[in-house]
Amino acid sequence: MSRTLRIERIDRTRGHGALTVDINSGRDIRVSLQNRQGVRGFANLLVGRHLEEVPSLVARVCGNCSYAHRLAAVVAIERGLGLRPSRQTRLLRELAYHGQLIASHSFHLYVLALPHYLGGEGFLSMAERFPEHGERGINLHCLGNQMEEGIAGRVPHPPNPVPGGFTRAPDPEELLKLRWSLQRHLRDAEKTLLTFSRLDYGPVPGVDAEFWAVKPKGRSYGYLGFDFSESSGRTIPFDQYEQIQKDGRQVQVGPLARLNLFSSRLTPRAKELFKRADLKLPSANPFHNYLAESIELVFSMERSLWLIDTLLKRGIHSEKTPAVRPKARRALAAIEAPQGTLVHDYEFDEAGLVSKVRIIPPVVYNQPLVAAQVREAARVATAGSDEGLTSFLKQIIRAYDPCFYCGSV
Amino acid sequence: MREERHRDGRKITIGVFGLTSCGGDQMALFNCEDEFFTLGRSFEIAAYDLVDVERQPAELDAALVEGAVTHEEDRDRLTRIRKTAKVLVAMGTCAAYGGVMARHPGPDPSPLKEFVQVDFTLPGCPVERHELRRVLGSLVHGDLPVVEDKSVCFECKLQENTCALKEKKALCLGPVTTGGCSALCVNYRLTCRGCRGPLVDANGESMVNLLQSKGWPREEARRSLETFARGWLKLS
Ligand code: SF4
Ligand code: SF4
Repeated sequence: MSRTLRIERIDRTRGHGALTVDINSGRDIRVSLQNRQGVRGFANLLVGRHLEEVPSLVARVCGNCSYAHRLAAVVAIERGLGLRPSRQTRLLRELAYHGQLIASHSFHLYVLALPHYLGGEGFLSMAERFPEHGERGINLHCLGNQMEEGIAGRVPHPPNPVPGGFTRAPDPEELLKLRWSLQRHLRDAEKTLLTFSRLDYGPVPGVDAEFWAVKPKGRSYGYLGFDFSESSGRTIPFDQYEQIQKDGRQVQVGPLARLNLFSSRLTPRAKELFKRADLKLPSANPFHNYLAESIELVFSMERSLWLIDTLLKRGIHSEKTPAVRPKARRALAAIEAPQGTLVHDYEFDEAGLVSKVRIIPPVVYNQPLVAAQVREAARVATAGSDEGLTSFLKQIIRAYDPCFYCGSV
Repeated sequence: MREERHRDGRKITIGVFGLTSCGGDQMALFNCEDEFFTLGRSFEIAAYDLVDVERQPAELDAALVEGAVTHEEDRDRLTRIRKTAKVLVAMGTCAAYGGVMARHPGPDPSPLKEFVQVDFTLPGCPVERHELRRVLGSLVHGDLPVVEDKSVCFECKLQENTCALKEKKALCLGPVTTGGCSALCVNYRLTCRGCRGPLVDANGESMVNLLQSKGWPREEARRSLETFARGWLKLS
């Protein structure tokens, strides 16, 4: 008995992805996960342009994580040219980053994921029937946007930061406002974990996965660092970012991977919630990604409060960004975008003109694993109806929060 | 907020669709946050690619379409949307002018107007929330807002910025770019790179000449004009 499932749009993922599953027998199942977004050709667009144009243009890769793309390009250029951002800059960058992560995770959790489990089709009808959930999702999303906009200047596609620093620092009042909003919505983040712990996702067959993430600087949990960590315990330098794909290994990047690797580094409140959650690590269960995101929401908010206090204590100074003097260099950086590892790799000539570009978004790292997980799920559920199977496979893919916009760079 | 309805008592139906894009304008619409609930009450959102299951309603009062046309699927979808919508709004610079995309093998990324009639153009990368609200507000009353033709330059002066073009001979496209962003990038000590597309009657060639007189190579000036809006130079 052979059959083919064709899902023309994996709805409520970011952008347009499609899935075809050919089931010939229990053993022979072929999965093809396709990105249907039109390609925009950023590499072609950037070659020949001056490095100062790069951050603003690459922000346009994604309307969700534009800040992550901008930051990755800025950090790459700084490393390439040997520019060192000030401590104030680093604190502000991280604060804006948490804003983006809060907005991204809450959008995934409440807008893309939750409606299915509450029996509604889309967010709007869910928000009408369950206003508490609708409002909580909007509150958190709004908070994240407010943080990103307040510090980086706009959502999406912020004009800040630039290589070397920030063009403009926020007023202390702005930070006080953010502080107040963060405190006000911390409970919303905590309740999020409760909501997602109680949902029934159904049994998922296990797959072998290794976890991979940028190793955070210092001892804290975080999204910026100098090399990669993988579940074997090894540390891998950034310039080997392709190794994992060359070896054909199945890796998972993203919130659950980060938590698998670094849960011991969480902030106190986030750690406490994590301990109380029904989440045994290591886990590659895609639905545990929702729990990992909820825990990361709490972490980001606690950490943001600390960042704001530190900034206010130091006082906000208006700093001049250093002049950018181009050199013929490779400029490479990886950061953790909300959905996982994001690599930006450029080459510049001595005039600062781009000669080579590679951008690898999290969706590309996760692709083999997602396909394998879909294949396993299809294998155990072959007896079910097409409709049931379609819905379940979509739920699995959605849980990874793949971004087909980033994938069509 | 009272519910907005047609004279015949029916709610206004709108559809929000994305072609080749970054999703940023659909996101900007969602970011109208507080208003979003009231929006849901005032309009019937009959389709919304970014946040809902796929829908292709048979009839819409208005379609907001994000993104450029880069492949067959975009083109078919756009044609279908046009057939069902009374009013079609090009939402964002990709939809309006092609946006930040490179030529690559296959057809050039093209703005919607090359394939269908566009009733209103809402530029911006991303669109400004205050402008989105203005469009939605007008749609409720069955019309469309007046097109404003202030340049970014004009708004930049209101912000009392020093002129990057005059004082620093920087590459700034403020004089020929449609305002509406309050000169955001100049406020952040960058320059305007034309993300909101050409001003009505803007003369691209004379902008190139002006930049050349400030020491910028012609080729670079031309390329920067065409970064967000392909065909800008054909306008003049
Ligand atoms: S106009 Fe800008 S924000 Fe809108 S889809 Fe295009 S790149 Fe994204
Ligand atoms: S200043 Fe220019 S580039 Fe910046 S947002 Fe306004 S139109 Fe876009």
